[in-house]
Amino acid sequence: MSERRTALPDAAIRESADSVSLGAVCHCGGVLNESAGADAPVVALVGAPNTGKSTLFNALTGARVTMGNWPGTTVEVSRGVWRTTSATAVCDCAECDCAEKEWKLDITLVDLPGAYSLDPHSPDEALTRDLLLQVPGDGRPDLCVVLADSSRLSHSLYLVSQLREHALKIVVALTMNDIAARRDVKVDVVALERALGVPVVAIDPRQRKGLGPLAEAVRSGLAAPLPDARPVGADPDDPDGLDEERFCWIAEAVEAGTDGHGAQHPSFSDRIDRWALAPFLGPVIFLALMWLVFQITTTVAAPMQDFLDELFTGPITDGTLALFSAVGLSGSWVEGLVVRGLIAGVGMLLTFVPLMTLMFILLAILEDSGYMARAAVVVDRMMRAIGLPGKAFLPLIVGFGCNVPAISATRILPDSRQRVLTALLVPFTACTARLTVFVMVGVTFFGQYAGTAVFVMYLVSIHLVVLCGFLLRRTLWRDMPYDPLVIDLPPYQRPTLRLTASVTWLRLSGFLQTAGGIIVATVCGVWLLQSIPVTSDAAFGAVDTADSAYGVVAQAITPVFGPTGFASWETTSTMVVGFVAKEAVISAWAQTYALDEPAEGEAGDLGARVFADFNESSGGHPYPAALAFMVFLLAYTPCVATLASQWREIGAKWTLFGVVMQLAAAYVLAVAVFQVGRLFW
Amino acid sequence: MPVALKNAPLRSTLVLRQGGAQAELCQRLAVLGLRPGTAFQLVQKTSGGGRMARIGQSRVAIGAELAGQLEVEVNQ
Repeated sequence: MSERRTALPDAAIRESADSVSLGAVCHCGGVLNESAGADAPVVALVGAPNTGKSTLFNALTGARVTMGNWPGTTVEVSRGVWRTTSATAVCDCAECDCAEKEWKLDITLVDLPGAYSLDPHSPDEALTRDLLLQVPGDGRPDLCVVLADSSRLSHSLYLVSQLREHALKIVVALTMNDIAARRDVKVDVVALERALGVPVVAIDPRQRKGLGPLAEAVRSGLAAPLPDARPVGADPDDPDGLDEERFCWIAEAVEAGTDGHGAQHPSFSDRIDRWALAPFLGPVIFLALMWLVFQITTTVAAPMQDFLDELFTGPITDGTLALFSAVGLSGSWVEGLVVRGLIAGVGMLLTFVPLMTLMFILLAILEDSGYMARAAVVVDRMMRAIGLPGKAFLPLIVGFGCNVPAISATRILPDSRQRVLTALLVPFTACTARLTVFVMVGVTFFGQYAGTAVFVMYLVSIHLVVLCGFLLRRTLWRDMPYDPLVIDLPPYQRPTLRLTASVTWLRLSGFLQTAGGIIVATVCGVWLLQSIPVTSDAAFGAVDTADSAYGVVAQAITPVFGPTGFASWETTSTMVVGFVAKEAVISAWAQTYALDEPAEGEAGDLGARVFADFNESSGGHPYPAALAFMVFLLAYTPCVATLASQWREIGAKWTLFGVVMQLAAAYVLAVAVFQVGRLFW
Repeated sequence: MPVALKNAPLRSTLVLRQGGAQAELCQRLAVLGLRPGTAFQLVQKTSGGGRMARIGQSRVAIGAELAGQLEVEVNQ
C-alpha cells in the first residue's frame, strides 16, 4: 500500500489516460502533491464567455496564480494551484489507511480563453482548441471542466457536444442557477448528467457554493478511465450534417435535463437594457459612467499619490540622507544609487498603486455586473471605424487619466489582436502627467490662450488615436477578419465584494511583479547615466548634468531635432527624463537651468529661460516650436511604467514596435507643425 | 415574404431564413440559438442601429451591419 501510495499519485493520473485497466487511482500521497508541480494533474477550465469561468478560476485558486501570455502568442492564460481535499478517500486500495488530512490533491488549474466552440474564430479560441485537441497527449489537460450557463443551457452545450466527440475526461459545471430559477427554468442535474454522459455539478462560483462537490467530481474523473468518445451519426466531412446532429443532441439533452420554458415577461435585465442600450440614452449613460471612471481614477487617487510621493521624496529620502551622513557616506555614489535610484524608483512604482487599485476595482465591478457587454454594444459602431470593438473604448478613455492602468484594461478585450492594437494606441491618449507640462508650456508661450493650446493637444490626441488605429488596421491587421457584432448579453448581477477584491488583487499583484522591476531598473539606469562623468574630471556621482553621460547623450541627439525648432540640449535632455516619467520634465528643466520649479499654472523664471531657448533654437519662431514640442511630448513614449505595462500585456516585440511607432509619429508631426507654423508665425 | 432583420418589426415572432454568408458566422449564430427555422423576437433597437433579439431565455445583441444581412420571415 505505502509503496503504491508514493509511486502513483501524479504519474498515475496521467497514465490513467491511457490505461483503462488501472481503474481508480490512489491520490493519498499528500506529500508528493504538496504543490502543483510538473507532475500534478492538469485541469482546464473551458466554456463560453460570460459563463463565470474566470470567477470560478479565482474562487478555486485564490492568490496561487501566475498569469502571462502563452508562449509565442499574446493570448493570456492564467495558471493556478487548486488545492482540493476529498471528503472520502478516492482510491481502490484494499486496505486504505489514509488520514483525512492526506486526502489532498493539488491540481494545476488552467483558465483557457473563452470559446463557444472548437472551431476557432480568433487566436484565443484557436489556442483553446489546440491545447485541448491538437497537442500531443502528455501536453493536454487531464480533465476539462466545462462551464455551462443554466439560464441559457443550449448555448453552452455546443462546446460540450464537440468535446464529447473526443475521448476526453469532462465534468460539466452548471453556473447561473439562481438566474435560471428566477426565470422558472428547473435543471434536473441527474437527468442532464445521463443525457450528456458526463458528470454534472451545480455550482455558484460568485458565492463559492458547490465547489466541494465539484472537487469530488474532478477527483473522481481524474481517477476514472478515459470515457469513450460520443459516436456521431453524421458524416465527419459534412459540417452542416455534423452541426445538425450536434444541435439535435443538445436539444435532447436540454429537453431531458430541464423543466419549464422560462418566464416570458420582461426580466430585470430587460428593464435596465431598455435604457442602457437605447439609441440616444445608451451612449449618454455610457459616457456618464466613463466620466465617473475617469474622475475616480484621477481625482480620488491623486491625494493618495501625492501622499506617497511626499512620503518618499520627504521623510524617507531625508531619513536615508541623514543615515548616510551619519556613517560618513554623504555625497557618495552609494547614497546617489540608494536615494536617486532605488528610493526614487520604488517611490514611483508605489505612487501608481492607488491609481491601479481603483482602476482594477472599477473594471471588476463593470465586468461582474454585466455592464461591460452593454458598453461594447453602445460604442461598437464608432470604434469599428478603427477596427476595434466597442469595449476598446474603455481603456482609451482611461488612458486620458493614466496610460498605465489603461494598458492593463485592454485585458477586457476578448481577442488578442484587439488587445495588441488597443495597447499600441493607448500611449497616444494625453494622460494627466503630460497635462502639467502642457499647462506650463502653454502659459509660457501662449499666455491667456494657454487653455486653448492645451485643448488643441487633446484634439490632436484623439485624432492620433483614430489615425494610427486606422493605419494599423489597414496595414498590419489587414487580414483581421470582419467580425460583426453578435453578443450574448449576460443578465445583470450585483457585484460581490469578495470577487471584486479577489480580481483586483490578482491584477494588482501581477502588475507589481512585472512592472516593478522594469520601473526601478530604468530609474536606476537614468541615475547611472547622470552620475558618469564624461567631459569633466568630477568624481562619479558628483558631476554636473551637462558633463555627465546623460548630458552628452542629450547633446548628441540634439541636432536630430533641428527641423522641429526645439533643438537645444536643455530641452532634449528633458525628453530623456520624460521617457522615464512626464511628471519629471518640469523638474528636470529646473534642474538643468539650476532654477526653482515654478508654481503650478505659472511660468516663473523658468518660463523666461525656456522661452529664450526656444526663440534661439527656432531661429525666431518660438511659438510653432513650442507647439511642435507639445505635439512631440504628446506622441512619444509616455513613461517607463507604461512600457512596463505594455511589456506585460503584449510582450517585448510589440512594446518595441510601439516605441518606434510613437517616436516616428512624434518626430514627423513635430517637424510638420514647426515647418508649417514658421511660415505664418 | 422575407425581410432584412433590421426592417423587421419589434415584438413580432420572427423566423430566421438565412444566417449570413459566412459559414463561421452561421455557426456562431447557431450556437447562440439563431438557426434557420428558429422563432425569436426583436426586443428593442440598440445604439448604433443594431437590434436586441430574445431567443428563448437569451438576449443577443446584433450589430447594424449584420442586422442588414440576416433575412427573417415575420410570422405575426
